Amino acid sequence: MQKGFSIITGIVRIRITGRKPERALNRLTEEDIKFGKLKKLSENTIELTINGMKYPAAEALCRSAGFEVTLISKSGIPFFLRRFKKRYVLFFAPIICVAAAFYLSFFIWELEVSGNETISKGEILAALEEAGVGIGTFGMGIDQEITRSLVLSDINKLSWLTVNVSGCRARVIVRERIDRPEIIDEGLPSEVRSGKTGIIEKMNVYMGKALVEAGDTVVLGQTIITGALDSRSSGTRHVHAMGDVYARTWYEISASMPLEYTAKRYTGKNIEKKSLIIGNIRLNLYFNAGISMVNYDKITTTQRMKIGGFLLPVSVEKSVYREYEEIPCMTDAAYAEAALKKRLLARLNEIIADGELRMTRYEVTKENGIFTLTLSAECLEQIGVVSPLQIPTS
Amino acid sequence: MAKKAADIFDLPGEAIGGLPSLEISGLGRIRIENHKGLLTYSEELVEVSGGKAVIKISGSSLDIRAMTADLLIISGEIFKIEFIY
Repeated sequence: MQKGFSIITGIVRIRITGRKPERALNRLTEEDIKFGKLKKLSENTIELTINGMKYPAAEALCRSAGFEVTLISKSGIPFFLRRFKKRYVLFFAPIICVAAAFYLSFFIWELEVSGNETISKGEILAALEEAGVGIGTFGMGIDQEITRSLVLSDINKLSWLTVNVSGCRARVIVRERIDRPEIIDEGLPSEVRSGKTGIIEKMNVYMGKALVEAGDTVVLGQTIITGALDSRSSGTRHVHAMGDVYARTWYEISASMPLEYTAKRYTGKNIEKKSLIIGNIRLNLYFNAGISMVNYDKITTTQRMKIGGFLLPVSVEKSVYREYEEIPCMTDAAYAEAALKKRLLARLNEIIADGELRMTRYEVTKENGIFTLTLSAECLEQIGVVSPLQIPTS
Repeated sequence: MAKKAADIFDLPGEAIGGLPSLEISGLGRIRIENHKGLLTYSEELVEVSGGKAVIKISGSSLDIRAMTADLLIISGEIFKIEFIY
């Protein structure tokens, strides 16, 4: 304990020379200056250790009594710190660092987004940026209500959002909107019409009366199941017609692709430019901002700096400009056919949705360097569409 | 005067007149209270003023372990303690 205290206050070892140095010890004790490790070196010389803070007083006291005082050594924190007395940079740098760290801790340096399922993190971050919340934003200045209303109005699919600021990290929690299921008003008179032209293969009538039967051809908009039911006792009764109508449908769709195209060939000439991004401030680590190349691709990578697991508000952005030249190329017919086939099938699947693809046939034509693929397909799909029933007013 | 008063009232001298009090423990440690200052110090001899008498401690490896205005603690191998009036 005493040793620890001595390290904090500092200790000095002094040599006192003079006639009868015991007198000096008496003077020191009178002034309540404690000493230790007393050693008599000769008749007129002693060495002792005293508290560093009492050294000026002890020196003055001994000198006034006619003794010569020599400082042998000094140790402890005050003497260690005194070494840096004139090294201002060393002294102020830690203070500036601590002050800067304290000041910067009020800003947002990391944004975490959670709770999103279909909406991308980038979309949410972009909306937040628009609302004034991003990397480098003053954390205490974030208004939850304003941010929420701005982001929710920007992204309609979101139903709720909150921004929790913890130090220099902001946790954004979102909830996505759940679409309300379509409610069928079974009290509304309606009929089932044909959504496409085709030949009916089968029908399931749940309500109403079928006007056609399997094997009949229907055209777009034709009534298949009517909601107007005739009754001998009570006249015409209007119901909400429902039913599934499966029909064979035919499609013919085409896609084209030029066989000749322009391809990129990289020349191997690259220009690399680096920038240091501190918060929202960008420092370009290059002088010439111009690019002398005519055709080039720009590939930008950003690396966020971190110490251990702690992300710093400093990023290094590297942009690589790769020069290329354009060369004419010819597409292989097999490749073109495969690519167009894939594209056509994807488009057809979009059209028939849950329908079944029964038969396909492709036809290839080449004209003026254009490769065209035509898909003829037969499908089985549900073509019934419920529409409000037009009731004639009498 | 203080000594006489201490004798009359059968009280310890240090309690009345500030007379020195010596306490020896373990044959190697002397505690002197109410001393009046250190007169001589070496590893073989320590002389302490006790007011009317000088306390002379002879020995080897004598060391002053603590010293305040009232208290003096000496340790070492003590051979002899003398009071010189």
